[in-house]
Amino acid sequence: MNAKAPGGLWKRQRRKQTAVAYFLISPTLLIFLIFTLAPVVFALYMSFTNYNILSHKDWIGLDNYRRLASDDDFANAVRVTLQYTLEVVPLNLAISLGLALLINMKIRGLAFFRSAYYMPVVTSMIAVSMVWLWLYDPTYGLFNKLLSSIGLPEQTWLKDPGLALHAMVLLKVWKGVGANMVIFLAGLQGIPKELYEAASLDGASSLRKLWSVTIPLLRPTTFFVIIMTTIGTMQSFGEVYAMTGGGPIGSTTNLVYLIYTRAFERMEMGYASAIATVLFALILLLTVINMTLVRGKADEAA
Amino acid sequence: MRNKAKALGALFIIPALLASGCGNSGDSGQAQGGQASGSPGSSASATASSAPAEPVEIKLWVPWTTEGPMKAFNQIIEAFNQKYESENISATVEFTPDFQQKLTTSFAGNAGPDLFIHGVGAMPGFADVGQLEDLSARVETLSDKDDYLSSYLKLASFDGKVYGLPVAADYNVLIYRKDFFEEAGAKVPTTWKEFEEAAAKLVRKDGNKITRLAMDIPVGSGNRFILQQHYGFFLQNNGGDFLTGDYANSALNTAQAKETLEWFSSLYENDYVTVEGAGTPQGAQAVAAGTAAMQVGSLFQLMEIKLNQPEMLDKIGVAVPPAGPNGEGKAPVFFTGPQVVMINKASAHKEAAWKLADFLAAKDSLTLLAEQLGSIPLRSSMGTEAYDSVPVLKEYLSLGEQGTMVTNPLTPKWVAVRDVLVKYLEETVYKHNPENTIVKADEEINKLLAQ
Repeated sequence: MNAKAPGGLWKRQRRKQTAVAYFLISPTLLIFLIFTLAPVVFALYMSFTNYNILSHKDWIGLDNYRRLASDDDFANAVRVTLQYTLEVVPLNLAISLGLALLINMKIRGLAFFRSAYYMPVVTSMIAVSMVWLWLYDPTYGLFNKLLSSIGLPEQTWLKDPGLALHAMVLLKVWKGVGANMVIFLAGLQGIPKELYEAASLDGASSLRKLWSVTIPLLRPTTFFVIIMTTIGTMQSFGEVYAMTGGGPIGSTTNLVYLIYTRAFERMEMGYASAIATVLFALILLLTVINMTLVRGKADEAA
Repeated sequence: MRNKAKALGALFIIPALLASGCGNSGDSGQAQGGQASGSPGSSASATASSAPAEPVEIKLWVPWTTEGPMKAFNQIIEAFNQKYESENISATVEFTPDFQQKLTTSFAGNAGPDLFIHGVGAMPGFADVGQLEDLSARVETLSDKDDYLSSYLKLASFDGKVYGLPVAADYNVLIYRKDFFEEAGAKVPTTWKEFEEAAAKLVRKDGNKITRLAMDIPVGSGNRFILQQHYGFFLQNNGGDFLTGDYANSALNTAQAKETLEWFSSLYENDYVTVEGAGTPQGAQAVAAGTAAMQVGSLFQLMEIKLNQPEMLDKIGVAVPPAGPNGEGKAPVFFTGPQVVMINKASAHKEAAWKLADFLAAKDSLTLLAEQLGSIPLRSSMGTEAYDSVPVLKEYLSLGEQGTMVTNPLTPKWVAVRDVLVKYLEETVYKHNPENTIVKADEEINKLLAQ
């Protein structure tokens, strides 16, 4: 029996459904176009000008990009951004997966821990940075008190160019693990229990199950977590602004902070837009690399 | 149907009639201002102006967000509104954190205030892009102009034009703990050599940890420009400066600047000053907290001590900046950064804005602001009674008469130049490599100035 309606009616119905769908997503699409896409396009245009917020907006072609090529501050900011991302993402991934595995057990009182690990996610980065500034204080800070209590030398933390970035990594990881923990938890709960039962019947140990069942089946979730954490970390600003001001000696000046100083302290909006465009391209590149490396296996697992 | 048409017609016609009945809401109907006495509550008004048809409301933005200054400005605005009520002029004040960013973006969006108060260092940047009203002619009509310190009036000029009126000013001096000096048997330094001799005696350690520095120079987030101010404190008293007189080139590759940077770096190498500091609690003054024997500061810091730790005032002394080898025997140089009120060129109410600026620069307003912001008397008639009862404040005022006042270079590129300077000063104090950093700073600043 032919289930299809006569051709013309079917096409009209389909057009109507498409129109309704577009109508329903149009508010979000409009907001996206006006508040996201349009500013991005305008920023791209500004990157080819000498716009200084208050007056000039002359077309200068690739001058801003040529300047980037010889700007030591820009090169430093790229290095800091990449280093920060490469430290935060794997740590965040490992700890959040570990927490998710623990929280996934059926033990009483875990609801409290689930909330406790998620709390930092919902607090403001600026507020958290203010508190961690005190934790890292060389004289009054808790971390130095803990170090000295176990006989280790105290550190100058945020005033040490060799330590400041790592100190911020700790804060970033602490603040971000809760969100990824929840995502991994959802992923874990989507893994069929029969697979674990089958593995148990085959004599697999817990570690073996983790390696052969859990991790492969979590690949789509892991792919998502890596991409989102990378994007978020590369765009970090609050902790740099509040804790170090990009110092000492530029050791914590990442690309977003550099954009901020060039745009709002030096009023070089055109140049800042060029840096923002390069950051966009860098994030896109890393995302594509991630997708290429992880997605293939993620698709298999899915 | 006809009734509906009539109703619709009325809907359009009535508002149009109302709008046409309203006169020009600009200032053209007002008589010239600026001759009125600035005293709050004064009944004398030299203007014979007719009230404008439309009420005029002007906005003033200020960067302070603490209780004292906010209270002072609210009082001043209230007095201004009372005085000009008959002319239908009223003002509001907004206390704006992140001042520079908000001001800049508001100008870009054509939504800036009519007037704002900012450090004089920011003035050239705004003037250069045509954002500020030229006050050169208006200043001649300033109420009781002869009473106003002309030296400070001149400081708010750029490119030969006056763009602001200072409403608060102080200058940097050496602040020290008299009891620490007595205890250590050290002499209050007048030269760099004496500074080093005193510093060696004043530093205190507990094992490897320094518990008291010779001088506290905060480094880090929020304090970056302080490093530049401290370097300038010594540089300008060694016959040097940041830029050449015409602000076209860096002056860092001179013997005076190199010598100053090397000496400055040596303070850190000898642990007289450290980047970690000695644990001065945030918001406290190092000399009052006892974590340093000396600090560079101004009237603002002394007023903070008076407010928060008044019991320490008797132990605090002030002195002129110590002179370097090229500054010995010369009058001391004091850095000053006046806060000036400026008028937005895009303001639709410039006459009213000038009235408020004049009011802010009047004796009563300046007296109120001096108490809250920590300012020297900017008018001769203000006298020094408020400070005479506190010996260290009286001494502070007398120091300023001994030397000359300088501001940061009044060039639109100063903020960018300072950024570069701070970057290399930080590198110097962390890596102790002044011979490298001074060359790099000089090159980069020259490149910036040439752009």
